[in-house]
Amino acid sequence: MSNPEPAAAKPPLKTDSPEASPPGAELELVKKAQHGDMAAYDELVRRYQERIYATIYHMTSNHEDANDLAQEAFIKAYQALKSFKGGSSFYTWVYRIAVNKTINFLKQRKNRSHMSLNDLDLNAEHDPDLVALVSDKTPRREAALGELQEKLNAALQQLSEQHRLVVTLHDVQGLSHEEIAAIMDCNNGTVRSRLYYARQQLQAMLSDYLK
Amino acid sequence: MNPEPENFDRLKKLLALKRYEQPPPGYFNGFSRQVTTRIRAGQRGGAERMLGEAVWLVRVWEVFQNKPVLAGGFGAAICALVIFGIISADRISPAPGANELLAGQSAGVSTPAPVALNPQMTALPVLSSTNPVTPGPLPSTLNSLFDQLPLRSQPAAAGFGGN
Repeated sequence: MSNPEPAAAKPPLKTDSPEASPPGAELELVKKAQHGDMAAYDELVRRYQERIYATIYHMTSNHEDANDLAQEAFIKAYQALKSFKGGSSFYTWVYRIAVNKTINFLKQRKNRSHMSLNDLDLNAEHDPDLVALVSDKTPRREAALGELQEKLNAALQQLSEQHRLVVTLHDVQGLSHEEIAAIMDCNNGTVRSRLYYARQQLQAMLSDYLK
Repeated sequence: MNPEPENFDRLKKLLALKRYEQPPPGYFNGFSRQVTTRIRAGQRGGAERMLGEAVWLVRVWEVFQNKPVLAGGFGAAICALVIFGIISADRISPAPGANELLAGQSAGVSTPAPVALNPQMTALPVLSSTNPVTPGPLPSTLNSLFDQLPLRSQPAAAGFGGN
């Protein structure tokens, strides 16, 4: 990378969660919500809505499905809030609910996959890494990025739910192996091996774009 | 297993493209509100299910929710009705017999003997299964133990000729 771009051009990477807010403050919000304080729950939803939505969206490649599932995940979390004992962070707990809900949905939807992709942020055209990937292919950069987006999503949909989830959480959302293991309720080694296998699969499917 | 991390570098860069996929502008502005609205609607739905099919009751409830003043007025009216009922109950005079009975008890007067239904029984000792049966003669007024009760009997016509 000989021509580093300004940091503003980099895509937003949501990896923050537990560090972004003190655990005590979050626990306080959770306790208030457990006692029916809707304003406190509203605050919790606003904290995690983007990450939960993004995970579900990358898993489904469909904005409408992601919207419905994300809302349902937060509603289910509220209904189950009394059972939350604080054994894990609220963030991990709600993530687990969203992930389980999404996987169940995908199993039911298996044979009627329909992509409804979000538009690319305009900053994507200025990302040097992406520019390098597409500049040789076509003179119209925007069209090339759109095509790349579709191919990438189609390839992701070819993976099993578990492998897609690991790639999404790690390579797209930037979560650590430990966080992913907590969300998926498995050990670190499983996360790493699934990640490796998923990358291999993707690499084979997208070989034309990775030469 | 050798993952050869350098081999995945271009793939990771390509996957970064996913981060640029963003929902419509302003999408998250109303997201949490939609969630809380659906939660409240679900709670209302639960309450409605508990009320069964009593739609009118649900409507009254909604009216009260929208107009707290009306709900307060209704509550005050119910309280007033209850208080009025309690006061009225205190003012109602009891039956005359009960009054005398109460007055007698309060004055230390012994309670009157219970009124006998059968005048004959007042003059006779009470005979019951718990009283010892003495071998002595019956009271002169009675020819039989059954005479103390006004039994009605009808002669039954019995015949063997039959029909």
